[in-house]
Amino acid sequence: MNRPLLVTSGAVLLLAPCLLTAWLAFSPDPFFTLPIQAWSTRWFIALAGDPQWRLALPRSLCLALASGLLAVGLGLPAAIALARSPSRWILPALVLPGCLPPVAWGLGLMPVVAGLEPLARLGVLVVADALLGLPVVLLVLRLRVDKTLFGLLETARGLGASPFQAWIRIGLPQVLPSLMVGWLLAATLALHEPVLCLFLCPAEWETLPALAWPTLRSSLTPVVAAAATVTTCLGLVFCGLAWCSWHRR
Amino acid sequence: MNPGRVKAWLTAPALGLVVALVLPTVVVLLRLAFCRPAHGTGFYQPGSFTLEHFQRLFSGDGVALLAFTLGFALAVAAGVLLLVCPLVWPMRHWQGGWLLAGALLLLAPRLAGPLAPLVALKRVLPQGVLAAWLAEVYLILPYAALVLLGHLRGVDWTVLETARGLGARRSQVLRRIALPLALPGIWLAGQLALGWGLGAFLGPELLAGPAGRTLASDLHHQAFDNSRWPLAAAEGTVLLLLVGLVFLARPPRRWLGEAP
Repeated sequence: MNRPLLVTSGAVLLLAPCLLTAWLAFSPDPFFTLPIQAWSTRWFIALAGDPQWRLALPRSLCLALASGLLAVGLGLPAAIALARSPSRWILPALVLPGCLPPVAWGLGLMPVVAGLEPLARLGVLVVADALLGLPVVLLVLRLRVDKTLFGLLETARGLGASPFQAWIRIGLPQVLPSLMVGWLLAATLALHEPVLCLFLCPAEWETLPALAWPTLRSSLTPVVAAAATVTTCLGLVFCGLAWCSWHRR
Repeated sequence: MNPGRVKAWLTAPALGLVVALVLPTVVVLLRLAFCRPAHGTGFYQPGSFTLEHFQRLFSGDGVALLAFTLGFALAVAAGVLLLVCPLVWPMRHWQGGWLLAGALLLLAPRLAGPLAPLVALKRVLPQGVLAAWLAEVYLILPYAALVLLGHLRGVDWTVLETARGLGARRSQVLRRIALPLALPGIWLAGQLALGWGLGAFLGPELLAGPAGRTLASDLHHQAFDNSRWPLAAAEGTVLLLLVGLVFLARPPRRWLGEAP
């Protein structure tokens, strides 16, 4: 099979559900009747007009960006350590949270965080989301944190730079694109993580997936389709930014 | 400084947080699973001990639930592999922009998030196991595809040409060379799909209805709808055990090309 045909058929298969939801979100009909006869932004206006949804979006974004930042902060030292001397058990231990069923993980954490202040619960949620994004960060950092980087750092040290200077002036510019990509991808994953939010999110800080959950469980409303379209677009914007960071000279 | 100590210091923050968040989960699940449910507020009756939740889970309806979960996970893993293998196989030779475009496409379902596909499937398909299965296959596919792609790109595929040059038929090359070389990657992708299929929650909870309840969705139902936290914890414990067994399983040595 030739490449354009495979990529096109793959795109149709993999993107069709997201495109259908976007299509439904732009339909004026509240009962999702197909085929759609007219186009409207009324559900997006309703989304923006509802204070709950309006607050949930920036909350989700803050949570996602903070989780991504923490994942990068944890991932960079771990990637350096793993690149210097690979270990048989450290990498599996670091990707362990990603292997746990989120429902069981959330259930186990819920009694632990139940007595905590909302801010502390939020902190646990940020850490849990960061640990879920950690494998992606490690994967991306592996592309730049390698023997070439260590060689450059050694050369800088040999030419008289202190370890700190070598890292700031040589190491950091080398790994910065990876850090940006890792941050944005981990943030994208955190933005879309619905299950841990259900268990750990404090009621005062409901995120978009947590707010959409009751509606998704009972009857679907077009506002949820609009919210899903918005989160999908946000995820794609993050990915676009990651692409630009990677290719920036 | 000693390199081993440097490594320990550098990985300590991440490992510390993994331990701090995973260990309490296991301890709390185990503790809750052996307690009686609370009457009124709280998660359990302090000081109580019972095996009734595990007894319930391994008899009658509990066994049916376990069997359904296992069957659903196997079906999800099979669906993921059936889709992933033909999608990824041609990409093993791709380079540059084509490879990036292909990899991004494979990752698209994950990067776009689960909300949009769940809304679409809930609207288009009638409530049932098929919709839940489709949703889970769609959500798990990106990871399995990346794992398989990573493996296939690490293999030297020129041996296929060599075998053809030596007179092997296409079917022989596929069966005796390509498949054994791809098997470790297929095993890993299948293992991942089966492990996450066992923990499938979003699809069964939102799309399957009461008839298609898995261990993960029943756990949520028992905890939030029935306030039976100890039973939910027992289900969570069994789920962790099953997923752990799947991820710890190793393929037969001959699949890896090693001597038995």
